[in-house]
Amino acid sequence: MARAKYQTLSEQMFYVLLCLRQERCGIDILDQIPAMTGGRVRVGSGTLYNLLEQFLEEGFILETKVEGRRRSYVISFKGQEVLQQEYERICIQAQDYRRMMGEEEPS
Amino acid sequence: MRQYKRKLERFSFYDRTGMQRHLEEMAAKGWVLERMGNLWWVYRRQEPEKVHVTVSYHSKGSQYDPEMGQEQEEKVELCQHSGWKLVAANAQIQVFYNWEEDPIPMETDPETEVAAMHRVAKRTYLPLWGTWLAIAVLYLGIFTTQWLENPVEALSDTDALLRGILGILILLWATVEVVGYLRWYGKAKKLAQQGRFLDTSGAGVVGKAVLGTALAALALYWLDMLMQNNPVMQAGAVAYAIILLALCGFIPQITRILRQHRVPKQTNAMVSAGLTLLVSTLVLVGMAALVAGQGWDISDTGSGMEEYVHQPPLTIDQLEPVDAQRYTTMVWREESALVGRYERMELEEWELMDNQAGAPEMTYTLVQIHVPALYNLCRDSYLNREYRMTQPEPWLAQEAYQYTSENRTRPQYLLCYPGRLVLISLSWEPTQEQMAVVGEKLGGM
Repeated sequence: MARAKYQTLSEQMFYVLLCLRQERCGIDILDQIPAMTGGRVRVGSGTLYNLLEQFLEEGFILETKVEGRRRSYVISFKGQEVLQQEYERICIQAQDYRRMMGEEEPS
Repeated sequence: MRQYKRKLERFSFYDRTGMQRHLEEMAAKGWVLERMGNLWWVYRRQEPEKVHVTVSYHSKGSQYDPEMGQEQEEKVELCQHSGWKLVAANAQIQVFYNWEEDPIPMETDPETEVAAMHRVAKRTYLPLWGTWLAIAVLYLGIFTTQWLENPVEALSDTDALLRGILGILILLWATVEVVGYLRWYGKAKKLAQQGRFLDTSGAGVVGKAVLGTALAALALYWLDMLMQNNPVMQAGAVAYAIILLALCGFIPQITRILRQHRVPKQTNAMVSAGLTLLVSTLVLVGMAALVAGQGWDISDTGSGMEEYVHQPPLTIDQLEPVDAQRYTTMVWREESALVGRYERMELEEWELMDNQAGAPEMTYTLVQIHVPALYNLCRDSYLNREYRMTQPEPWLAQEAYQYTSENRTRPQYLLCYPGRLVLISLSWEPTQEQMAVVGEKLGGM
């Protein structure tokens, strides 16, 4: 079944938005995501460029400054809401998993 | 040993898999991409090497963008950080090379990639194909109308045939591209939601075949114009060639130089459009001045059937003793590689018309069929319920039909000879001797 746009975020979308809780340029994001995930998640440069373009269009991020070739961004209020929704969704998934697998609910 | 190679490349815009594979194979043979045009790609010689290629889509790209403009700079720097170097771009398609052994792919999220490609498709390619489809429908509509009215005229008219051929080719190409893209997009979008990429398989073979056939048809059309024994047509052929060279060679070159000099997109687009208009106007005005200066006759714009231009196959005075001064003669001629058509009307001048006893008048169409398979089709297109079979022998013909209206026969005949048809209409009942003259002169018997 088709998924509504941004109702859920892909892993890469999630980490890009998470990175932008601080103002960062694209190259910083490319370096930060593997560092944040222990190398488990890597975002391709083409994917990152397209994501930044899409997030700007959707108003999830804001452009903060342009220094030469580098542009910096930060997450917007709307982007923060989307990120929060995704976090809650993942938490509910995790809770469901634990319940079904007979694990204890975290206190 | 030459350092550069220019190749005619034809890929569907969305066929990134095909382009990537091809460019990786070329690099392995020692040729790296230097420049991308709409048709021609230029390669530079280098040591054969293993390289990873990514074809990327940039929705804000334009063929008039300055090289390394601000829009591209951010993406180029991001990609360079991961080892991907931009080597060439054409409008919204960018080609990146990476020489590392196992690089991080440029595209790691299929959903984002499919969305980026679809933005480019919606913005540029789908409207472009829509325009081509409209042109194809227009061309085929004009050809079909002409065919339904008179198949022989359609087959003998080189312009009509070219329109028909181009209409079919464009329709085929645009349909294959649109259907191919939409099918790929539908599947790719579904797979992307599962985190999977879908390889593309574009309509490259169809594109190449269509392009080759269209270029061959245009070249034949151009040669046909040039070979006409008519200076106006020859000047027209030269004018077409100059405009085509300007559109495909000179103006794109200027556009490229302006991009290299980082001239703003809008300025470049205006200069390129202005030059196109200027060159076309200059060539057409120059041609008109040449025709006027040389005093060439522009009333005879017919083509082909050259043997009858100065020596008509049959004139009315060869059948009836008439005063030629009293006659107006009108001639049309057309000839394609399939069929030639020569029409002649000899009618009494309106002002001199004697109401008491009208002068004899004659109209005929001589159809020369170059492709035997078309003979029956041409003959049957003239035959309708009003034509009845009559004796062919007096006309020295294989078959003869006479026009009948309201159960009365009229002196109007369709005569069939080997490789040619004659449709003749007289204002009097011909004698046996006159029929034999018609058979000899028009039937070539």
